[in-house]
Amino acid sequence: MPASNQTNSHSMIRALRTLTLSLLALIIGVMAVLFASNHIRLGFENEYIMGFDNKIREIALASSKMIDGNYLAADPSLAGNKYGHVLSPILLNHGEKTVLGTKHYGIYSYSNGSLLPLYQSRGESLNAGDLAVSQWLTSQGIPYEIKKEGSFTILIPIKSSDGAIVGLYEVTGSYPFLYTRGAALERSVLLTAIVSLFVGLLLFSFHYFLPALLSYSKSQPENRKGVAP
Amino acid sequence: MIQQTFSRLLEKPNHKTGKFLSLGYFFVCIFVSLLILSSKLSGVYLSVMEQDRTDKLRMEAALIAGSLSGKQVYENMHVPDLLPDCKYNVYINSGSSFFNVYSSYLVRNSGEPLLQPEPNGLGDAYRDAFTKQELVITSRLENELNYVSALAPIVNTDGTSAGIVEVLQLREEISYTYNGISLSWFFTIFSISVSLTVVFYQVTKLLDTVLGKPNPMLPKIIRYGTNGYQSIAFFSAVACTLPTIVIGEQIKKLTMEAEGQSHSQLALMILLGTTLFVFGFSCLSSLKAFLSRSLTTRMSILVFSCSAIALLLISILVHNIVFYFLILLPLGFSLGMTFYFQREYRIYASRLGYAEFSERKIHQIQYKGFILGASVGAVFAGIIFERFGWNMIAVLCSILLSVVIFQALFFIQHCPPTNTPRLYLPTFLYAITNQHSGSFLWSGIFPLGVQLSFFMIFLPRILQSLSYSLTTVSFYFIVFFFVGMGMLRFISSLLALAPSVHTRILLSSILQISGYLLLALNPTAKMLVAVVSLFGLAVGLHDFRYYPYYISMIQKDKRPFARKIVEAVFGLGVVLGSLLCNSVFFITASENPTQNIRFGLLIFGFVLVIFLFAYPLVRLLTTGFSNSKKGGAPT
Repeated sequence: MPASNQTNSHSMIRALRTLTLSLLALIIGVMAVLFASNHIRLGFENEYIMGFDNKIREIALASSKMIDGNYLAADPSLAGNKYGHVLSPILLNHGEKTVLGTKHYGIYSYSNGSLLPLYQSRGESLNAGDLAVSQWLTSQGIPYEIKKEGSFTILIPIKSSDGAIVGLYEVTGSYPFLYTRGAALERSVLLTAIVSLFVGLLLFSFHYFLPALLSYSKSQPENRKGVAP
Repeated sequence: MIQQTFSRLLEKPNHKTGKFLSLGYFFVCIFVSLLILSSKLSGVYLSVMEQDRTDKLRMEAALIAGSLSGKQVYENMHVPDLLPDCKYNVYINSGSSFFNVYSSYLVRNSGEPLLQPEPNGLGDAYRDAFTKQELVITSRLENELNYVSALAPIVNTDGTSAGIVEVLQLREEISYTYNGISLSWFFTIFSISVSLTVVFYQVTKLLDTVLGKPNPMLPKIIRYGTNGYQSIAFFSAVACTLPTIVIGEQIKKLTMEAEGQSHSQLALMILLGTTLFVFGFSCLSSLKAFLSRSLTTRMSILVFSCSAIALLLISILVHNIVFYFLILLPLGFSLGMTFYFQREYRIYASRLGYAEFSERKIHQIQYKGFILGASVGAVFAGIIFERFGWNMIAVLCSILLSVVIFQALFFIQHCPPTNTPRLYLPTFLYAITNQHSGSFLWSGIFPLGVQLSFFMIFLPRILQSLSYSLTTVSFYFIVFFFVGMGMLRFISSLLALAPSVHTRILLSSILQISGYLLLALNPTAKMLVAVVSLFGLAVGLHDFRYYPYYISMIQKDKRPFARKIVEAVFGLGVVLGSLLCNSVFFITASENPTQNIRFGLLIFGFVLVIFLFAYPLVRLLTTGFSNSKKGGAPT
């Protein structure tokens, strides 16, 4: 094979190698950022969800002690109205500058195997009506929890003084913002990473191009001197 | 001098310098990017969590205030115990001051007067909460501690304010997160950076090897030099580590999806599953030899890698615990064939007689590839399984196996199977029950198999039980590699140490048992760093000298079986190690396994003491340490 062809193929192989490695470096760099951001995101999301669920659980259990079962049994509609308004400043967000997770609650009367909603802060966000009574009803009146992606619900049976279950108190907290904000954050981080890694690659490649450029520009005047008239 | 420096800067870096320069630059870029990214993301999520926690404080204050509304507020009043873990105060207002009439945490003896107003006054926030009847979040100091406080008004029946409730929480508790920039996260991003740099380096090497010209003067099997087989070792280790690290978690996931299982049943299932996998991976060598001879080595790696790919892809479609158990043994066997291929290559290449391709040298280079591959595989396994689950692990493993097939067929163009005689059970039993050489196997080779199970099976499980992510496993692999391959070699060359094989085994046994006992005393992630370092030293002492020494110990007519015996004992170590490692969790199976894990680890340690010190004790009884020769067996 003629020497010039060999040199050409050698240069092509080198160029191909350089291009492939540059692309690979960029891809691996982006992968690293994706890995890390996803790992951090999942960790924080889990921590937030655990904290949020605990918050809903504790506040719901504490606020359920304010509901008098005997009063609920005696006059369900008045009781529902009263407790509905008493619980509103406790549970709902009023005038906060930023609202992240939202909370909704409902008070129900229970008799003869069926639930009657007495007060609901927002009916479509609540879950008690969609559940079969047998799912949450136990003789000990243990609270029942529903865990879904983006929400947490606790159902607390309300008992009268003789131990009979006369009502149900539901608190539902939801946090869809967590996933949308997390995805948006990941996207912006990824874009930033791509740009900065590309710039980093360019800066690194100067170390290879600059000597070639400078030695080429240096050799140009010498070549002109050597050219025959 | 300036001109010299300038002209040197104008020179392009040579190939080797350029490679290290690019690797170093790459590592620094990745590491710095990850650090900055971590701090930015932590900041954003921390502010979200702080908002949620202050919201909780606000609700607690509103709840307590609500329970007191319509009631008289006075000293020693009865406050309903709605939130027993909460720290709160009740204040009444008198002019411009607030007096504390009730505190859930400050102790007052009966008869003492009303608590004096707070020394620095309580500020506008408290006045706003009282006069404007607003829910307010503020902060103040108490006993030099910074608190965030939520204020809620206590409203009378006539609509006026009777007092305010203040719920307090330490600012450091509000701002606390276990996911932030901590030492473990630093280790994790360090591992990610190192692993990806290693991937970049290995792919660069692969590209150089593929685009480069093989040496036509060398036999086909070694034409591509050390890069060829080192690349195969690396990529096969990554492919095999991916499913191995996550087997326990996948069984847990599938079992919990199927139906509720007790912790003991779950621990038993993980024990069974991992043991099936490692049995297929490291044992059944006679079957592997038979298939290698029948199909030829290159065809066997092609067939079994394809079968592993098929099993992995089917496991994506069939999401069932029973099916998963059915595929674990054949999957382990198929993945084990990639290592068996490399074993065949090593034996055949070493018989060609080239100094650069001695068996020990090839084994050392393959071993480096295995450890680096395992570190990278652990990072990928942890992060990908966390986000995407088993499916993406299966896909990635399949892609890597395809790369291994390509490498095996491209780089190793000829590799006939070895003709080692079949090892029968009586021969094997005779070998392992022999007082001298048998105890050598139990103390030298068997613990190496146990170590493999420790790193692949036990380490991921204990880290998960300590609430660390699977990605952190990679950091320990890197520590193991650094201590065993780097630090030990450096110390040995610096001090010109060349201990005999007997000394190596004794030291290795002491180091291993110290590691197990340290872990039993304090099973924490920090202690695991020390334990893994000890194991790195222990395994590094092996230096691939045990097998040649074993050959010198046994009768000449038994020497053709030596390799198979050693491999069988190693495989036995892997399987029994897996059983022992999982048994630790089975014994301590409970909601919080680390509580009683010490007991399981102590039993584990005591069982291993018998094996580790068998050979040193036999030597002590028969020959004594004073007559031990330096240098050990011929290499």
